[in-house]
Amino acid sequence: MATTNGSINGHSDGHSGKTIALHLQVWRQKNSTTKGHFENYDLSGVSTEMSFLDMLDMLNEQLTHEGKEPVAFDHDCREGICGTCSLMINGYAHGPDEHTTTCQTHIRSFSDGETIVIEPWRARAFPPIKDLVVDRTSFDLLIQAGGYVSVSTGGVPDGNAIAVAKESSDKAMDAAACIGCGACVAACPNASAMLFASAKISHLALLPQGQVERKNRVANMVRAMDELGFGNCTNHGECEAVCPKEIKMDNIARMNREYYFAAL
Amino acid sequence: MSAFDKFFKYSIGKKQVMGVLGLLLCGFALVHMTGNFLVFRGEDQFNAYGEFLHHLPAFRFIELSLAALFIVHIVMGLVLAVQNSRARPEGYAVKKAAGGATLGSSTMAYTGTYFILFLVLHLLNIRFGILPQVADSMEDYGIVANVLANPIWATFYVVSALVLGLHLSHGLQSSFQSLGFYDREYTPLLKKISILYGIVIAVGYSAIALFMLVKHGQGG
Ligand code: FES
Repeated sequence: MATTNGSINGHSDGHSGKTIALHLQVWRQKNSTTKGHFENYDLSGVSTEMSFLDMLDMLNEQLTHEGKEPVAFDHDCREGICGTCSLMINGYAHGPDEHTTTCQTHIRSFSDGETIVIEPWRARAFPPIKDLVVDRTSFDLLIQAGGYVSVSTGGVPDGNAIAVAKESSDKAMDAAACIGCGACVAACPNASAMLFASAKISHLALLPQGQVERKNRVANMVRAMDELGFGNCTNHGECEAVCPKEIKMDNIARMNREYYFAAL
Repeated sequence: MSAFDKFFKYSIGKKQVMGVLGLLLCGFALVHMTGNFLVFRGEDQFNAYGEFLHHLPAFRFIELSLAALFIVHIVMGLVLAVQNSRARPEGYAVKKAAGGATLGSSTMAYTGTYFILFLVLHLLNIRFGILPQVADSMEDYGIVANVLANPIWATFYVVSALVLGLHLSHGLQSSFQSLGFYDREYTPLLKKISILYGIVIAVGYSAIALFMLVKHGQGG
């Protein structure tokens, strides 16, 4: 059992501030073909100033010292901008903090002695690779199905040469903030990718450069969503509740409109 | 494949059909309930209302259209529900609502499925009158009274009213979203109206069942 040393001011690892003990239940899965299971780990002396991924690094160091296999998890920028980190933490995609990626979640959001259950994203379209890492290629395929502009838009235009209404450019910018992490799919009770797809569809539908391929884009992306095995939106709104970039469901409504206008 | 086929083949097309049919059925639920409130006015008024409906020139047509609405809504709902459950073959050990899902939204498939059972029994009871407690000669009011005088049936109707209210509390606003209506100002209001509407439906239909039980039940 881990010891609690919450009152000791940081001597370990040069971290200042409080340290706490955590009990972790981590999903371990050898590869995509074997069945996974939870492993229990106790970690003590975890600085509350650490990020969640620092804490997992600490766990992996401990496991390596014990001669055990470290836990595989996805990460890259650790600055909340790349969308590589994932993780279902205590039942919340990207952890308990609102609109925050896992890499920007800090141990101060947890309490001393707390049990933290860590699971990978779970969806048919995101098959497991190893431990907490899943294959999010289906998002790339979804973008390949239509999330781009392939017509020539010429060189860099003069400022204000192409008029875009302020409201449209704001909305397009909000939609373009999507980092493609997949939290929307992970949190959706139906594992639907509609927030992700609709962010891309909205972003391009709102700008002049996106007009030429507008109808094909929505038709192709909707077809791809179905074919890749994502579920259908039933308008719960869990996606927008967990989205680290605060992409809103008005994008899904816009995609719904785009869909029937494309069919007409 | 024609544009029409394509529209329905993919998820969003089905969702939108669900939305349109859902809205029509929401309207029906309200009209049916307010019409049935005539039981509070007494036997004669209720029977007169029944007579009026049966003699509408397009009664058969309305009845069949309604049946078609229900059937398509149910079948499409089941197809979508199966697809959705397949989209996540392995569930989470721990999963919490992050603030979006409501009791109504997360039970749509269950409340909807329950409603199939309700519809079958309700039609057998009232429309076809084949359950044993209904005599042939009875008029509309008599049929309703006969069914709801039985505490078990009255309970069944109250439970069904609650289930329907729950289903519609999400369904009404969800239809608008599926049909592409979203407004930062009006959507939050619509969500509240939707819940209120669900409550009205649940309370309204329950009141009819309880009123008839009290009036015609053995203790009444
Ligand atoms: S690691 Fe880049 S967003 Fe978290």
